[in-house]
Amino acid sequence: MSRLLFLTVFLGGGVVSARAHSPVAGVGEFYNGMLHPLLVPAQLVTLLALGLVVGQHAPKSSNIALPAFVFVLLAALAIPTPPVSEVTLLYLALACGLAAVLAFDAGAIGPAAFAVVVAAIIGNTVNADIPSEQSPWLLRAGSALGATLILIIFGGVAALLKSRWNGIATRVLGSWVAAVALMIIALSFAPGA
Amino acid sequence: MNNSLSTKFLLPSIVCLCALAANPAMAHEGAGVIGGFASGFMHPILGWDHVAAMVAVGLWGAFLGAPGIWLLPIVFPLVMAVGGAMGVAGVPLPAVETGIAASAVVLGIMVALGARPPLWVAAIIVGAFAIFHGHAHGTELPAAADAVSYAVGFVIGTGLLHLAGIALGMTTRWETGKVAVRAAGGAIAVAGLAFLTGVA
Repeated sequence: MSRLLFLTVFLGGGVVSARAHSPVAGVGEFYNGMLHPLLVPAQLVTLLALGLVVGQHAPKSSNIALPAFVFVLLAALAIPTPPVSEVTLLYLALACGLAAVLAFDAGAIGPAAFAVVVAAIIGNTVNADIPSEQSPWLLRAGSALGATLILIIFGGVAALLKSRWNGIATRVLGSWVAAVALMIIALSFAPGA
Repeated sequence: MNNSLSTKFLLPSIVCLCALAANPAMAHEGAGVIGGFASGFMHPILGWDHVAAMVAVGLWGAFLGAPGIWLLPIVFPLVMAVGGAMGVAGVPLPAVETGIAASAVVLGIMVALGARPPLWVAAIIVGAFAIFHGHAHGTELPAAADAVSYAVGFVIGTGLLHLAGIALGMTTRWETGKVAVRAAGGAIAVAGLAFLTGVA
């Protein structure tokens, strides 16, 4: 029963629909795909949170997490599945943010597990967001590259920060990410959402 | 070298922050992602009561030293988000504005006295007041054009105010700086009293 309740809450149905955004005119479908993770705040926040977790314990964590992320993202983009609410991403952002605050070391497998789930959901939400008049493959390829680059950049910054100020900056960023995620999750349950 | 460099940037940063904060808080909602972010970012910065308390958290953290200097700015946004969630969910919280004003008074006094309680006590005090600040943000969140970017904006705005307080608090390494920071704490407490009594 409790497991069912958890799944209901976690997968959240369509409590908050994916926030569609206007494509950037004149840049083409590939670049629109690349910009997609930047223009969807839930994806950007989640990639930042994942980057913090992966970078905080790099290279032990990144050796598995990054290839796993790329592989699962490509698979999720290639195999359309029923759309999942973007709020699901924010649960992951909250978990990653709190893990970064606590500097929780889950070995190599923990960050990789987060990376796999985040990649699967980002691929799913990108597929759900593709306008019917655009070439889906160019957009998907662009999205895969964009999301991967963003994760590498955030992860790289977190890896650099871990050796400075005792990793405090990463922990502070983690708390900001967790706070944002918690707020948006709360919003999805607000009356009239 | 580093000290002179940080001092060089500290004063302009504080002046810029004060210039930004020199307007009364006004409800305003922008459009789209950028509008939502700007709206959320400016919400804590354009309210004197929020500014006073957030800067005081940073100042107090600097007085407490490590690990308080980073623990308080981590505790505040996390607990603030819980308060925000309560506001979003419509959970009533009595005397929100009084709590926000009281936060400036109490935190200002802590800074003015250079209080160094156990870290967990400081974290509880800061966390308790963060609930009120979060609730105030949360009640405005559903009306924002883009709620996600609004939340990102106000968390970053809040964090930067903490950083401004920490930057100012770093001057406590000098005797003159300690006096200045304590005076700033006193000013924050007086400002909080003015908010509390309705004078400001």
